[in-house]
Amino acid sequence: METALVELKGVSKIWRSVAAVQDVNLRIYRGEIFALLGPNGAGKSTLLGMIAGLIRPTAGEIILHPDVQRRGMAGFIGDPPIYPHLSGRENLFMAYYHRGLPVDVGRVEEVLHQVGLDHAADRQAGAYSTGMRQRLGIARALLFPVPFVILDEPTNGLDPEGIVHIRELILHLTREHGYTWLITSHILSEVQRLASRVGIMVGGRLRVVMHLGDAEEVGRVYTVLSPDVDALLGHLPSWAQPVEVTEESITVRLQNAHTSADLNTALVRRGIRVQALMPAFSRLELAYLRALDLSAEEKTPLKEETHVPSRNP
Amino acid sequence: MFRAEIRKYVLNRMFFYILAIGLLILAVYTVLLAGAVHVGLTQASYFDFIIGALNMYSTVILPFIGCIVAAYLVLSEYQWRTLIWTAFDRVPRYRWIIAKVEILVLSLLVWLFVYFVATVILALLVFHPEEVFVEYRALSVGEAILRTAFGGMWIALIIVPFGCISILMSLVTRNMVVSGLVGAFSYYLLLMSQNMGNHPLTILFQVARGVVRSADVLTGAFLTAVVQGALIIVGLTGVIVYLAVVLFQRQDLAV
Repeated sequence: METALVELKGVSKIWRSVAAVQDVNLRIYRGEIFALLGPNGAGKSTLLGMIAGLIRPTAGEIILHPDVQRRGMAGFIGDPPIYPHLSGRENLFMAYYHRGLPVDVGRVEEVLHQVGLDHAADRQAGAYSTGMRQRLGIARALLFPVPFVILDEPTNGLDPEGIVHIRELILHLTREHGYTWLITSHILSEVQRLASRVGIMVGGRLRVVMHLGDAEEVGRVYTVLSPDVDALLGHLPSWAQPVEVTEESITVRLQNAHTSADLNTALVRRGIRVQALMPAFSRLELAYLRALDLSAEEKTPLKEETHVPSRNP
Repeated sequence: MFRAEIRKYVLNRMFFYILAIGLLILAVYTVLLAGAVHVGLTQASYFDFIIGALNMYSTVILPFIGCIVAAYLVLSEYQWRTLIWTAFDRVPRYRWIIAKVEILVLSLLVWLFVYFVATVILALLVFHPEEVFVEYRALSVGEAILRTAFGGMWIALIIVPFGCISILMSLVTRNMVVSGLVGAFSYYLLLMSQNMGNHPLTILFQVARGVVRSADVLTGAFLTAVVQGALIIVGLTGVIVYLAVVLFQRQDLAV
């Protein structure tokens, strides 16, 4: 049984007469990396603000697991806030001062090193580049062993090397220390490499919640489109494990070094009509664009996809 | 939390610039008064000099600076967007407001203390520390300095509720100039109203005047006035801080 660290029940936020977030239902499970996608103004930051307790929902309920209530959460929303006249290191000290704790200098140095900011720790944070501010914000989020971390576009402004570094750090902390993350991003390929589940927000609504493969499973998770999903499900080879089923597709994880060509051959031999076979990333891209189209045309929201098995990175 | 506020606002340049402005004003005042005495335009004792310098700084300049700084204490956090840390560092919002008031009080006292020490040093250097008379009673140098120190500190405490008005207004308007001016204007209104008849708040300035103008301050009437004045300052501050906390608790901290 998966443990939901954060649960949103019918959460809405109306700013004056504008609905920034509408009727969002979502659970974020322990140990997962949940990515929230959506265009600018989709309501992502407002939703994060409500989860963090900065913004009060107009309607609905946000339930935090007792572990999150007890140990708190970390992260940032929007650009990482800094005290511009203080050094990077002193900005981290402030987290201890706010909490009334003695400064753990060793821990501060450790996170500065983890995010690659140790060389600039004594410089005034106001003179940092966007990427350095991101690193400082991430360092602050990692200072304390909290169960739940919110990062709003954490790779924004980072160079490619920095993006890889931060991604690896997040994955490492998830695997080794059981962190749970709620991350927003505009970069679909980055989300694909990082997240275990994705939600797509458009116009304040959470249009889609879908499952992705883990990072080490890139190239091993595929979506098969077929007119007869039931037949497809019944004829899947034993080495293709279904991870998600929708009305029109099944997403499978290939095992034992089997490839997408093997899967296609096996399904065709079993008489299954395969309309398309695509890596999960393509599926994410399609889902994203489809969610945008639906919003533009003001059609009914996409049905939330079925979450089949437990998937912790 | 208080340690965080000290690091944010006291150990930074702005704090020392304000200190320097006070000392610069004192230097100008000293040159003008000493020059006027020297050429025979006026007469002044070291006690007159201290009272004049303190009066100018604590009742005219410091309230303005204090109210603007009070607004800055709040609005700088909005500008830096560091209010987000109240949520992630789990700082109760009431504690955040109280920390702002604490740092305001500390700042006022430190600015005034440094100014006062500089004033006393200049007074003793430039003017002769002769015996001075208050009404019929001669004051020793030590008593004169103690009395003026109390008077200055008292004025700094009077400024606190008006600084809190600026804090409250900052939460409402998010505008530093407007918030600072509302607090400062309220203070100046009270100051001017001293000459417009009796009202409950006149006791505030009566204490400051009494401590430097009365022959004997260890009287029941004076001590009663001090207690009443202190209760008024604490009561006013408490009500305004309570309103600010209630307002801040209800605010969405837009990200």
